[in-house]
Amino acid sequence: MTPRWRQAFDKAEGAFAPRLEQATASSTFADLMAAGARLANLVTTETERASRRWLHLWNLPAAGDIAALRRQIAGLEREVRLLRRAAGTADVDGSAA
Amino acid sequence: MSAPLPTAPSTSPSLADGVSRRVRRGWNLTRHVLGIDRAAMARTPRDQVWTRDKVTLWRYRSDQPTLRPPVLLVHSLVSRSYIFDLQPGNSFVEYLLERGFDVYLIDWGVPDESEAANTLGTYTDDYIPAAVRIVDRAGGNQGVTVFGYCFGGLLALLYAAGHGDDPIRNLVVMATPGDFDEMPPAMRGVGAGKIDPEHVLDETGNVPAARVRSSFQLLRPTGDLATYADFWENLHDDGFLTTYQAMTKWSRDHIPFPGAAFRQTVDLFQESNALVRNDVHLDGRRLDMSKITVPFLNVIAERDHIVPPPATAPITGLVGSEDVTELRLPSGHVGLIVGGTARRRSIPAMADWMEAHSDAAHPDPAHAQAS
Repeated sequence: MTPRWRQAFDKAEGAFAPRLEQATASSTFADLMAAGARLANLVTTETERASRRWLHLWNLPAAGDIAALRRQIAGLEREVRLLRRAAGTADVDGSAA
Repeated sequence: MSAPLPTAPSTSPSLADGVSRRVRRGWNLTRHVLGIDRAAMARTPRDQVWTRDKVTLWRYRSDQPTLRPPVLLVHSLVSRSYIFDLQPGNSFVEYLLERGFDVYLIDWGVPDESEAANTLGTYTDDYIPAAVRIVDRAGGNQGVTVFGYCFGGLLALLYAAGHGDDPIRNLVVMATPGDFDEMPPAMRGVGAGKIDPEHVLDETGNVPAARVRSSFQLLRPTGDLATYADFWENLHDDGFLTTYQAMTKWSRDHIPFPGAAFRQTVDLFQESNALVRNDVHLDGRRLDMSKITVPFLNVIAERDHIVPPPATAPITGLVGSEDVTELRLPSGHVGLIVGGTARRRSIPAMADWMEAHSDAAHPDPAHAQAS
């Protein structure tokens, strides 16, 4: 037998879920999400810029510097992958792995 | 696999049942919170056959496959591939092995900065063709049944359309998006003049896993609450708890979407809906779906809230195969391969089709070598 609390939950969920799903599927919600993404991007950029300036003042690396370094390393890794592929050493079979 | 519990003393049946149930709830809650005796996942024994970059090709162990060609499972780019082998007794792979298939899985690994430049072509023109060649060779050059799930089905389609000479014996796509105009709005929020794809990428150049997860959550905003309610209601049930732990882990265990592939997905499919118009241009090459002429199975989940049937069904008419089957199953997106209905109905129906398009295996030197 379904407990009473569950019956109440199902009733409430049955009433709210379709409305919420409709709301999240609406064009207005998509616009809000887009505005939110733009705002978050702006805030992140500005915060990073300010903190980077402050950290650089103390000769310390900022998160952006680390990210740039990681991107550079990733770029190098991709080049190594291409070179290994050209040299025929990109694949590792099961026995060697 | 839970530890044995003390049973309540037998007084009256209803009282004993009630006490036993409470004891079991308490014990299950304790072990869930403390992480004791967690559900075992992805336990089917397998061997690493090949790796390239972060991609791994696995072969599941089988005493002696009785069916040919081998099956290569191609998973989505945003979730973990262990959904194919969730738990002992609740595993798509396990079932296929029991039926006599030789099963391989291509796993993409977890992308980071090094994969940010991976385009769709990286998967469809590099990794998948290489894996297919290896599987074909290991299976005695009798071709491969390529089986794509969700976005993996889209990758399989793009690969098959661009590699007509490859040893593809059969192509199966399951819950695969075709008509992106029919996808839920939450899955189409990026692009189309709404969210700039660049705003979705993180410092690694990929779409972060948390972002991928939140887009799925938007499809059913009360989904998590309902899951908690199910958990609380069925806490006394050991079997339920095991499946709950496995499913909640998988459904929250997304991986980053490589940035370049994501941008292409937005441009090609979300904005241009190129697949359903059969106008896919990938890395300067047109991929004509009518060039796919191998036996084709399109599996549609009738209660799929992630890739609804109207988004999946048009794929059936796109391919040029003479042998085309559309299989509609009464389940949800994940319910196709996980759960009781999957075990009883969905998986056997797919396996029946694959078996009908396979041959009886006979021992051959190539296979023995690969084993």
